This record gives sequence, structure tokens and C-alpha cells, in this order.
Amino acid sequence: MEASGREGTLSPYIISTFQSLVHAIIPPHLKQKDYIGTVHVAGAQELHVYEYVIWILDHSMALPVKEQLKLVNSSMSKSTAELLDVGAAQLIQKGQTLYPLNVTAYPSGGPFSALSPIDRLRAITLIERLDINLENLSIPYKNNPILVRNMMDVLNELSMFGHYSEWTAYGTTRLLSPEYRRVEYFPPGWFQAQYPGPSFGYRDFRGFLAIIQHRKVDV
Amino acid sequence: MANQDVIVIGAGGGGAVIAKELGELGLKVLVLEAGPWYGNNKWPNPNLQSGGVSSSTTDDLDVMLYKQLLNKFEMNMNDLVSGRFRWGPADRNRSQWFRKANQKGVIWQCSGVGGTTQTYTANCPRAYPAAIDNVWPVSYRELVPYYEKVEATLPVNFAATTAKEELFYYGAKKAGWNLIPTLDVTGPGYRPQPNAILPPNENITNPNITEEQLSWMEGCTLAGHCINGCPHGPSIEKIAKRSTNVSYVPLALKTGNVCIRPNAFVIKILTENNPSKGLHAIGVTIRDTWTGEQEELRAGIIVMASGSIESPRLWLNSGLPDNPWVGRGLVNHYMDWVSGIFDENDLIPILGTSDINPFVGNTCGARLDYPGLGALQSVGMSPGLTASFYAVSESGYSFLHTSSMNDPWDIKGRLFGCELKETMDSYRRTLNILVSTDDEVDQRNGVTLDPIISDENGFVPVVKYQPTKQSSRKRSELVNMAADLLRKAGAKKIIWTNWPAGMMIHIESTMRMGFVVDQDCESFQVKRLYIADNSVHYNSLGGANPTLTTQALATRTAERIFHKYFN
Repeated sequence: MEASGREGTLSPYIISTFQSLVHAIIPPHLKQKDYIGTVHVAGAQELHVYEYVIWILDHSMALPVKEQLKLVNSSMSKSTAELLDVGAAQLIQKGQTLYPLNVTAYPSGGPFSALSPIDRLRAITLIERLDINLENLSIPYKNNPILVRNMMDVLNELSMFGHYSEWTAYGTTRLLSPEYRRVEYFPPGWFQAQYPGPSFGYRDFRGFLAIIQHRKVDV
Repeated sequence: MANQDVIVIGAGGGGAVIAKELGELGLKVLVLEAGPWYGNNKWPNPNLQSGGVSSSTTDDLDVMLYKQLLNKFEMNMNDLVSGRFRWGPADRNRSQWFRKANQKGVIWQCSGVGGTTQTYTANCPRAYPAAIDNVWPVSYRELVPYYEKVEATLPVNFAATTAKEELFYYGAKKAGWNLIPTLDVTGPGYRPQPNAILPPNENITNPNITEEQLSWMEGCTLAGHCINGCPHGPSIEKIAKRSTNVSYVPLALKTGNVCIRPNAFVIKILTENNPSKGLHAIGVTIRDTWTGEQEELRAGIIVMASGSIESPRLWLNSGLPDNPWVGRGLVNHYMDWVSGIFDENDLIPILGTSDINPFVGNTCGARLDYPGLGALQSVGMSPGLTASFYAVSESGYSFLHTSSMNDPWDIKGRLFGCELKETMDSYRRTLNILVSTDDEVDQRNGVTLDPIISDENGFVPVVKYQPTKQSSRKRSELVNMAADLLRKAGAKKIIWTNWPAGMMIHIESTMRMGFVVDQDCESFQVKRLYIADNSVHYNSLGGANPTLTTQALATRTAERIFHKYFN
């Protein structure tokens, strides 16, 4: 991945696009808790999961491969943000948006960020159905339907893994190279799922349904 | 080691086994592994510094270091791009090794001593006899003694029961299936998973022994970190989950004849052609993954054990003879994912507890086998991995699908938004089932080289898989069976994720026996070149997990190599 640590090259456009993406996939919500009342449960944007998605996209390919894909003057995160915008523009042009556009929520974003959360997912649906002009996409998506479709799964997968793993607890070290990250507090996603975290063991042993008797073997 | 008799490429599920067996037969073996070695004190910072060159003694194994590196955090260990368990170089400042997939999905393989067994769930069922007899060039009966030897060596035991297994068995029984407590599966039924995991220590329920103390004792602690990397046990060779780096590798080193060199990517098979021997392998070219330096190493026998993607890639990048089956015929058990969400009031009468707690116990501890269709397995993982498995779908978002009265599922497709959060709120009351299909070999599926893109190790592999109609039909039946089992167990909500075809977790049959290798696993076209990984499987074993069969074959192949060339 060559470069590590915080990269100052991310544009507000890329950040806004991925903020709006993870917000649509894992929004904040209110939850009724016994004895406490209603509590706010953080979504992926508040937990900076978009930074994980961007980091992975921009560190997933070695430079020689990027060069062969002609991706040296751009980045996977930028190309992917542009891909999301192509899907959004298509949804808007088709008149298929369910809710009005809102350009104030993510002022630096493009059409994708201006869509309502559910319309962002509907734009992704258009992309994965390849209901867009593949000729107009940026490298490496241009005329690459397999990668286009695969990336729509990857974006969801990364958002969910980032949110519900310990990544959100790497805190101030979250954008460092993996060997230098440190868990600074209990991961919020684990708290939300009520996962107790790494364990030495559990006592819930309920016996064996069957036993294997190993024979002395001499092959 | 300068004068090795045999070079083995890859220290994973097959390579470690054949190295140990050949070492015990007195042959000098050099194992070349592309990835790092965790838990060997010659590499105290295996992801940061190049460390030593090779290791050939168990004195180098260091359980403290192993426990420090396998820290059980799912992102640190399992992230496919930058985790300790990834397909990539030891240096985590560098990217993973690039592969091109021709369909949606995930390729889940690991470099490193232990290979993908570092992260596997240690499931060791035998192939179904009906998938072998009169189909493979060898019979099931011929394989049985080798199965028995591997099962005794690892060892393999039926999984201990925790809540999620108890619920799976309850649902299976309610759905009308019988218990089949056997290793030789000839008819449908449910059973505990035969796992390469040590049974729990006798003190597992002793309140006077702390969990931390247990983690230093022999036996599974039911900590549920099989996929994250199990670090529990008193020494490397007594770690509870029997990845080959803690089972066969120590046994190989103990022979005094085996040397293992990590951080060495084999980029070419070297051959010679002369009238007496014909075309035969004489050595390999390796590339040091830290320095980039290349080196030629020679031996009388070369064994490829680099997995079902890299073995054909290496053959093709080495310019070995054309064969229409090299790389072809890939099967992956065309997997799927079905989940049941339970109410606590329904769980209490069955389990005595209000939660299933999927993070407790063997990750895959129960299974239902159906020769002719495939298998279902219970799966309980950490939450990040669990959530990400809901994200991969051939049918897009769940809002695109509405359940009808006749559908066995309530939700179909990729979860999102509040629905996802509600599902993860129910994480502790969720039972997941992995569907593993008896999928058909199709020559159109497989591994080829990208004609343009290469990395430092040669042209990159392109992996292609589309299920046949027959495979799709079988998977649909298995999905219905999984939903029925969950419903009968009392699930209030069934989620069918509908995974895409490219979920590469069990990759097999890209260098098939009878087509690329003979029944002793020696290449037809290049003598003295053997294969000891999943790629030699003739088919998908009926849907059974592949590792045990690869290990049984590797044991047999070692014997055949010795008798043919060294006896």
C-alpha cells in the first residue's frame, strides 16, 4: 500500500460522497431501552466509517498494478465517488427519485450526496444493474461491468465491517498503517451488537452429541 | 538447506502435511512459503521487519509471540486488504497481492505458514463416499486409511455442544432429520462437526480456574475465535485449533529433515528435458518478498501446494506444457447464507438461556449432510464479519424484494439502514447457516492469466465461476432446507442473503486428478512435479469441506513419491 498514515490529498468531494454513502447504509437511529428511555445509536458517519472505506479503496492495489490500470493520476476513492455520481445522475434523469434533492446536507458532494438516503441506495441499484453508460465512467470502471457490479457489494461490505468491527475504536490511530493502530476504547459497533470482545473463553459447555474413537493407524 | 531432496511450495493445508510425511520418511525437505511466519522467534516483528531466513527446529517456536500477534481483533486479523490473515506479503505497509475476479464475491485465502488454515474454521468432514466411488480415479476405501491417519494426527474430534449447536440440532430434529454420528456419510442427517479442534479442557466449567488460566491449558476454551485466529494453549504445538502451523509444522520440524523458509514467493518452476527422464522439474525460482531478490533453488522433486489459484497460475507463468484442464474445472461449493432471528422467550425453553451467543464455541460446530445435494453448517462469528456477510448479495438490496406467503424467507437480499441495525441488535439471538453445495465441475470455470496485468510475481490470475443449472437447483433445495430448519427451531425472522457465485472460500479442482495429475498426484506432462493442495480434487467432494481430503491425499502422495523416486 506504500503510503501510510493520514493522506492530505482527499478532497472534500470524496469525503462528502463517502460520508453520504455510509450514512445511507448504516444511519443513526433511536432505540427504546428499558429504564433509560430513548437513546441515540450512532450511525456509520458519526463513527468515521467512511474513512475506513476510503482508506481500503486507496490502499488495495500496489503501485505497479495501478500504473497498468492507468490509475496513477487518480485514486480508487475518486473514481468510485464519480461512479456513484453517475448512478445518481441517472436516477435523477429518469425522474425516479422518491424525495427532493438536498444540496445543503453535503455541500461539497455531487449528485449522489444530494439524494435522500434511500435514493442513494436506489442509485446504487441502478449501477449494479448496469443501467448506466459504462463508456462514460472513469478508469478503472470504464467498460468494466464486472468491477462495477462487484464494487457495489464491496462498498456495503466495507461499511458494515468497518462499523461493526474494532476499527471505530482505533481512534487517533485509525488512519495509521495497521501495525501502528491501537484500540483506544471499547468499539461502539461491538457495544451496539452486545459483543463482549476478545475472550479467553466461555463456560457454556453442554457436552458432546457424539465422540470419535481414533483407531491406531499404520498407513 | 542446500541439498534438499524435495521442495514444497506453500506451507498451508497440504504443504505442511506432505513436508512432515516426507521428513518422517527421511527425505530432506525445503518448504517455501510466500507469506509470514507468526510465532517463530526468528521473526519477532513479522509484519514490520524481514527477520531471519529460515527455520528448521521447534526451538524457534514461541507461544508468547504467537499469542501477542494473534490478538483476536477481527479487523486486525481478518481484513482482506490489510489484516494479518490476507493474501499478501508479510509487510503490511504494502498492498495485498492483486487478483482479478470475473464475478461478484470474495476470495478468502491467506499467505503465511499455515496458509488459509490459519483462519479456517477447522472443519474436517470426509468426502461423501458417493462423490468418490466410481467417479474419482481412486476409491473411497483407498482414502480411508489416510483419512484415519490425518484425523488421528491433527486430531479431529466431533465439536463440543454450546447453545448454537444445541439450537441447530433441535431445529434439525424438529424438521425430521436423524442424527448420523458417523464419519462416513451415506445418507442425510445431522451431526456434530468433525473439527480439528481439541476438546475442551476438563476444567472448562470449574469456577476455581479463571478463563485466562484456561487459555494457557490444553483444550478449546470455547472462545469462538476460530476465524480470528486461535491463540489458546500452553505451547505452539498444543494450540486448540489445529491449523497446520501448530499441528503438522511442529511435527515436520521434529523430524530434523524439514526446513521452512517464509517470505519466499515461487515465481517459476524450472524444468529440463532429456531422453532418459523426459520433461521433468528440477527446481524453482523464488523472489524474496522483502528485498525483491531472486534466487534459483534445486531439488529432485517439486511439490506445488500453493492452492487452487496459485498452483495453476504458477504452471501457466512457468510456461509449462499446454493442457486444456490446467486451471479449469473450478468448484467453490456455490455457497449461500441463511440467518434466523429468534425471540428470547422462544429460546429459554430450548436452551435455558435467552441468547444464542454466536461468538461462543467452535465457529462451525454443527452440520447437516445430504449426499447428492451438499451440506448446511452452523456459523457463529464476531459482529464485523457477521454484518459484512449480510452485505454480499446477487439480488441487491432487500427493499427490492417482498416476501409472499409461499416464500421460506422473510427478507431476501442485502440488508441496509434500520433493518440492518435491527438485525445486528439481534446479533446475540441469531443463528447463521452456511450452505455448501455439491456443485458440478464445468471446464468453463477456473483460473487463467490476465494477458496484460502483472505484479512482481508474474501475470495475475483471473478467477471465473458460474454455477451450472444443476448446481443452482441443488443450492435452492439446500436454502429451503436451511430456512425450514431455522423455522422449526423457532426463528421469528428468516433472512436469505442470496450470495453471488464468487464466494471463494472452498476453492477446488483446478488441477484435477486424471486430467492434470495422475492418481498419485504427479503431473502427467512434467515428471517429478507433484501437487498437494485442493486443486487436485476431481470434484467438490459432494459439498464437504475440502481440507481433510487434501491432507489425506498429501499423506498418500508423500508415500508414493518415496516409493517411486527414493526407495
